[in-house]
Amino acid sequence: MIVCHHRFLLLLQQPEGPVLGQLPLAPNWEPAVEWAAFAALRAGGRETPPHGRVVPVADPRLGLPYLSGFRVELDGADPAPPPCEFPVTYFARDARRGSAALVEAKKLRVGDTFSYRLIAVEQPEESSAQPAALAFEVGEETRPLAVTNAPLPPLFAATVPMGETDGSSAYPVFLPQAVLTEAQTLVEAAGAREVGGILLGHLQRDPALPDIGAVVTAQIPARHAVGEAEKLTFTPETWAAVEAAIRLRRSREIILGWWHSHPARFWCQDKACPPATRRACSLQRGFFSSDDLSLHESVFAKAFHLALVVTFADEGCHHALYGWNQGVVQRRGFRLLPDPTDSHPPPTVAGCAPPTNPHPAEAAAAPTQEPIRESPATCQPGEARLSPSPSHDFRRSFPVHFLHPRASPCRILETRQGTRNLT
Amino acid sequence: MPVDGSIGELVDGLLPRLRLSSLDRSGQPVHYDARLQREERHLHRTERVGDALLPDDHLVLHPRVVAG
Repeated sequence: MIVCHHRFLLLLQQPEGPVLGQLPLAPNWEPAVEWAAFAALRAGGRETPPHGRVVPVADPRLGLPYLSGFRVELDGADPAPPPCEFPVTYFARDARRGSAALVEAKKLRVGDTFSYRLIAVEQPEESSAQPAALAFEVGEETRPLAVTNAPLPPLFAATVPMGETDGSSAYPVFLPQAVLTEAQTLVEAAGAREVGGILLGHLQRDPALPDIGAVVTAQIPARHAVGEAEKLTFTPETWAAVEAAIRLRRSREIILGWWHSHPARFWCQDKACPPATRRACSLQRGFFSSDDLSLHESVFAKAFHLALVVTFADEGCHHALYGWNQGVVQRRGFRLLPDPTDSHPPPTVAGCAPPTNPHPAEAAAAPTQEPIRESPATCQPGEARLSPSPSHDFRRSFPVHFLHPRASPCRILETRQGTRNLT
Repeated sequence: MPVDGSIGELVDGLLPRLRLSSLDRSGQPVHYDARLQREERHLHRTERVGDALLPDDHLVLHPRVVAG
């Protein structure tokens, strides 16, 4: 249960200019509460169910109703973990969505810069409508998160930083090169078809830091998935195979995320764009499409869930990792665990930048290699720039069968044997 | 629930109980298949509850979602 006694709105305006419009929000608080629960776990606390309250945080300069963000206060932990605060950029995507109406109204043009402010107004508590009682009982089995205790510095010492990393809040992710190599091999073999799979591994807690790292150990190819040029359908058989593989491996692994490919070198071939244009094309550089984002938000909603995209570009395969950060899905960095037996060249990571705030455990780890350095394009907090969508909007939406890694099994508690009614 | 209720009706009824959304963030419907662990198969939405399920059966919901 997530409780919020306020109504949130965004004011969209030109920088230092007049308000252009306001956008009522219907926020999905679940990513924020999940992130707060994971942050408490990383700090050494016990696992708590993602229940809590959302409280506005007043802008220190303007005061209420203007906000600098909001905070989540978790229930159920004793002692209660410190509140977890979230900036206004939690609503950046809503702001971009709201700006579309302003473009239609000719109050903004594509390419204009606008800013947004978050405000909240108190609303009386409404009696939440209870769902109609169903004539059966269900019991939700909450499986405790499998976390192993082991020091993280040895992993930092054995790995190479890759990709952009916000060390202030992002949890460390350790990804073996062998996993990337396997994925790349599958992508190259599939040619123009999309392929994908599931990332398995462990959450490893270092009580001395304290922090938790995600250690990817394997990828399970979605062998029963149906891949086409612009879509990938994970069939129910795919998920049965993944579950069987996890059981067969007997390594107490959990699903840490998923991966799939974008065979960009085969897209738009009939357009005959010049090589320079193709190199600069956002499809070639790698992206996380709106469909990918919806899938990740709907299915991989745990704060530690990851998404790896392998882009099969004109110049070869490159990788980009995405994950949750303060309730928002962002491109993120990882630590690459080299495979000494692998003769493949090191993988290429799109949008790499040096870690801006190295993880504390790195201080205890011996330096290894120089990180790949390349500046990513980012927006300033609270600002967004309108630009033609880099995602492949020309693509259609397709139904995909997908395992629900956060779905707990529901148990039919009782059946009445006489009539075999579920009670 | 009557024995002649369908698995589809059961799944739809389970979603709010399990706090699972029937719409994704972009407003597209999310469909779920129920996997019956005892028989290691996904149930058809048209199957009858009384025919398919036994006491203490475990179901796992697998959503159908969109990826590009």
